[in-house]
Amino acid sequence: MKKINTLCIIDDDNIFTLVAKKIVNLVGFCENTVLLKNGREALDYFNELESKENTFPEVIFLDLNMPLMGGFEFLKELEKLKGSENTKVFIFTSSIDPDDQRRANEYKVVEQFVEKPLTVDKLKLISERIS
Amino acid sequence: MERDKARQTALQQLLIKIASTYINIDLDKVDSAIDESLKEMAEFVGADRAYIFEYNIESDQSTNTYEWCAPGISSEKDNLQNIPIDRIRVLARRHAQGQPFYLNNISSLVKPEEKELKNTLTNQGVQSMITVPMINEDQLIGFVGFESVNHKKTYTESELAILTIFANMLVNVKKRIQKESKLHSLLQISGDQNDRLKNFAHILSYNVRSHASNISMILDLIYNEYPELAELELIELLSNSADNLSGTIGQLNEVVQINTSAKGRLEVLNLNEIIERAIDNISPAASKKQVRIINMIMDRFEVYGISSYLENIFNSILLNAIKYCSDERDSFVKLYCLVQGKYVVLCVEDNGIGIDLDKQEFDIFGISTSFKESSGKGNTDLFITKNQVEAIGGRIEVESTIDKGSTFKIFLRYEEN
Repeated sequence: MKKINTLCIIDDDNIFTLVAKKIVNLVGFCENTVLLKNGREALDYFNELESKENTFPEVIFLDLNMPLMGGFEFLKELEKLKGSENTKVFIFTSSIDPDDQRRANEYKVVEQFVEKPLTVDKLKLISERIS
Repeated sequence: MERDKARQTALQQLLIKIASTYINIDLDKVDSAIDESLKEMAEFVGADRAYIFEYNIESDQSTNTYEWCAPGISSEKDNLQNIPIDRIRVLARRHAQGQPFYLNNISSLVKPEEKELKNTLTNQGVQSMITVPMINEDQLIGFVGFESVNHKKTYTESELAILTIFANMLVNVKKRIQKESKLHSLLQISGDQNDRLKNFAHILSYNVRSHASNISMILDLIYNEYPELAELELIELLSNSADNLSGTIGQLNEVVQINTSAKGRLEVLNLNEIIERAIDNISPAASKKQVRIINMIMDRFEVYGISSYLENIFNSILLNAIKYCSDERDSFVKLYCLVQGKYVVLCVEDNGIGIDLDKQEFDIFGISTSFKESSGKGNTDLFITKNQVEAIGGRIEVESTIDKGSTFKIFLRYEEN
């Protein structure tokens, strides 16, 4: 299994990010985990990577409903960055609104729409899917 | 003679015209139609003014709402807003008895109680008049009338006929306006409720659900990282509660989605195909409990619905019948259809243990019943089933006798060919 270097988790819910990070470590999903609180913060981070021509994280776990900048707006901006070509976004949300799912699938960086919670089994499936 | 006959014909034509104008009038056009009718009627009978007054019984006032005046005749409408009924009491009394009020000559008003009316009419130069009350379900709402200003005129049966039919038409229009505004406000309310429901679904979906999923996630981590804790009874109970909470939120969300999204998505569906598919789906469960499924539906039916809803409805009802079969006899579930008015009624009859509907402390389709189920007992998804049936314009009923069986009747809107 090809190990992922960096995973970026973008979610305003501290409990989710904290527990998700533990699950990620438990499964050994990646080398590094970057935690970001909302789309705005994430976009700043990615803009900086782009300007320094650094490699983007291979995987992003993205929440939809966040303050300052939500998931969809972030996706729109992310797709404009050259570095995002090899990045795979997994939408993690509590929403089971079919409209959200439809919208998410319109972005080519979006790999999959995943309903929360994140579990060890779900993470293993994701890991298999991208390796 | 010839002239009388011609006039009689013209009168009939006028009456028919008034009646047909108002019978199905677009409510936006009432104002202009009334102005037009007043003119036509007044010109026909040779009156100087034609008008409509409304009574406000509570404030004991009357208001001139519409008026037509012949050329050269002064308009009095602005002087006749919210006037005390006392000024026209004599006339109002006749109206309250459902009678018209005629006056051929103003000088015949001589009694003391007629003095107010005489003054009022004199101020407007009225010499003769006829008025007919508008009565809506025993309630006096106003009157219509003609009057002559420059000359005396004897108003007769034909004027009475014209005003009577006009008054009746106006009462009908008024009723329609009331009904439509009631309907409009009901629609408004249900629209608001729908919005609130959507808002609620949103909160449920994002907020409540995210907390529930965090709890599940933490538990999942505990199970994986500290397997020894999983042995603890308390952790197991917590885990069950978390699963039930997620299940309940999921159910609630589904119901809200059903109620907000079904309208406008109805299509015509082949009932037989969907039933046959449902029978296939549940056949493993049926054979496991040795329940015979007897499909007695011979005719083909088309109903309005949403295919995924119908499939779920039939699955749930059939599974419910199988679940509550009796061990003491050969079990069966019979399906047949009846046609009742605009509904096809799918009947699902079993000879299972039955339900004591009188003793049942809650509605078997109720939300509390279905939530009991998340704790492991009670009925299958009947709550969602009922909501789905209602969302596609149908309804569901149940008849049952203890230890004899139950019949579920699903009323579906019928598409006649």
